[in-house]
Amino acid sequence: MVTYTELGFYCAQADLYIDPLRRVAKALVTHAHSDHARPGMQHYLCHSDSVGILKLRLGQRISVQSMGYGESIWMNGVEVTLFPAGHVPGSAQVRLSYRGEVWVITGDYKTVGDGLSPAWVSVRCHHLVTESTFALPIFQWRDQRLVFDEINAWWRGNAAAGRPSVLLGYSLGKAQRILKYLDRSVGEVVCHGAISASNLVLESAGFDFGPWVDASEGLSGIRAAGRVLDGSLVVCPPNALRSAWITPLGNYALANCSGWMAVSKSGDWGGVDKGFVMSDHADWPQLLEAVRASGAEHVHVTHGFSETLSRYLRETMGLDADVVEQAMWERTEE
Amino acid sequence: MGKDGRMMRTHFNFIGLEAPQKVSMGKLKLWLSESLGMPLWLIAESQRFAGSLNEALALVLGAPEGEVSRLDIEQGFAQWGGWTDGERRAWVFRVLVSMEVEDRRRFMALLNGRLVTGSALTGMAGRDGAAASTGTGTEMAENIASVSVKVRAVLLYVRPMGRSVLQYELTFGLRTGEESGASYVGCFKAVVGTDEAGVAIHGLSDELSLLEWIGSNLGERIGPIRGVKVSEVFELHCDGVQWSKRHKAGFKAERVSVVSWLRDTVGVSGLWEVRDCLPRPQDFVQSG
Repeated sequence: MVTYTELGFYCAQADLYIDPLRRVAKALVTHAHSDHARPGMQHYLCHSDSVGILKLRLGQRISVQSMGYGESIWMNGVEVTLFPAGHVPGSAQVRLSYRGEVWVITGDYKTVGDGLSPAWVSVRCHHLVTESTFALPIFQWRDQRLVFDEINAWWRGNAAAGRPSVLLGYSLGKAQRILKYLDRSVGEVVCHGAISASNLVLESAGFDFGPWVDASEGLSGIRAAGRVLDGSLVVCPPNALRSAWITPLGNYALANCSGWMAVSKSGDWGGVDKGFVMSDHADWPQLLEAVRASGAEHVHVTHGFSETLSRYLRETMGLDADVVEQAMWERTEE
Repeated sequence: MGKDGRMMRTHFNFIGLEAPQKVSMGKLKLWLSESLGMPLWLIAESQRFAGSLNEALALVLGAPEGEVSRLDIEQGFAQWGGWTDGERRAWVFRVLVSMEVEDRRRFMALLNGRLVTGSALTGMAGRDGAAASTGTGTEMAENIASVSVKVRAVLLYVRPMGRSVLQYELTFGLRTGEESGASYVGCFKAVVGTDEAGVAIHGLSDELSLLEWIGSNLGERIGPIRGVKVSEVFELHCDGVQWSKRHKAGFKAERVSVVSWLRDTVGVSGLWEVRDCLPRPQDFVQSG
């Protein structure tokens, strides 16, 4: 029912592409990250919480239809339903059902709830298409409360030394998850413009991640307005470090917050002072849990360590598993 | 501390502990593979990405479960000799599972005989807390940012020093890559030679013959440095080893002592064997 084409996953019966790579007529977008939601589609279909971000990133004039979780639409006899993927706000797994055969395409997901995005649910299916960004057993995430305790302690230490803190996080998902759990008693939370823009859209969709200061107009403007940046925590995307935007901060402490920080070689990336291990993707145990819970006999692995996961599913779990790989140049936005 | 462990753990104190027997990383890999029911190829894939077997093994164990005390380890080491291989495996697994990733890495390096702690040090003044620490058990503060290691290093260069005496500053290297076709990175420096009275200054029993060997194996001149024939392997004991961005190896040592000239040309330790003993960058907040 679903095939893998050079444009991405395609359901011919419904004439529907999922996260297509290039322009198609009907594109179902699992979430609004740039490696899943690409510009130029004739019509977009996505979860209602993704609509605002999609328009923010791809233009207000795109043609987009939205759905809620658990709602079905029918396309030429194919029942299309979205379920929460727990990856970022608005992220969805896609269930396609036609004449008794059920496929689930996970998109990016994590099975452990983060208190921000609606939590992942298991969906039974015959064929499961799963991502594998962190499909190695060295990736085993800790309870996020532990990580936020570490982040807040790091911030508190910097603030006590009169030094601003900079935490890197992508502007959709990771940034808001961080914002939600920062201890505001330490100081103010300042957001880079790219993050502020996502924040506003998500807040209007009903998400809440606590107070934050918009630095779209630049950090010196904030300083000029009499606010003290020294004890504050600035959340910005990695590319902001390469711009003049960051210079008014002076001698800041820098940390990255990513699943890749689990391995020490990543500790050197970008000269960060500290790496916090936290990801919006499933770790090794979560990937296995998702496969087991789906009850799928056929598993198609994509997007990451797909060879490793499919071999493990075949040899150790006795499943029919193969690799469907996206073009090598496609990188995962966390 | 509860199992959900919201309280941040402090580093395990290994001061004064010495492994009863050297356990190789290969052996540890087999033990953990069996204990976890994890195929060896999957550990190999993990090692490939993590860049070090020590780190891969520390990570595949996941979040710490259970508790292990210093007393448990002392008792285990004491009973080690009477255990079967299976009992040793089960004990090492239980100890490792109970530890944080950082402590696992250091415990494995301790089992390998690479990481040297406290009492095993000779004449080490306690600047880094090792010999100077008093008190008992986990109460002692251990500075994990600066460690002592035992390595087999190869002599790469010498720098002639002084005019009236025969002295050389030696540069020792560790291996990158596989043993065959390995290249070496200079890591540690020590001075050997004689004083005015002709007495060996480093204290090696065969220091005079080492000077002779150097004299007859000098190679190309690079500024004040002379290359030597890259063949001779030495056992070194290095104290105050810590990360350094100003050194090519990525770390530096405060004190290097040449324990012996092994008269051997193989078995040079890997660069990563020292890195394994140091805290991971993300577990170690640099002051700044």
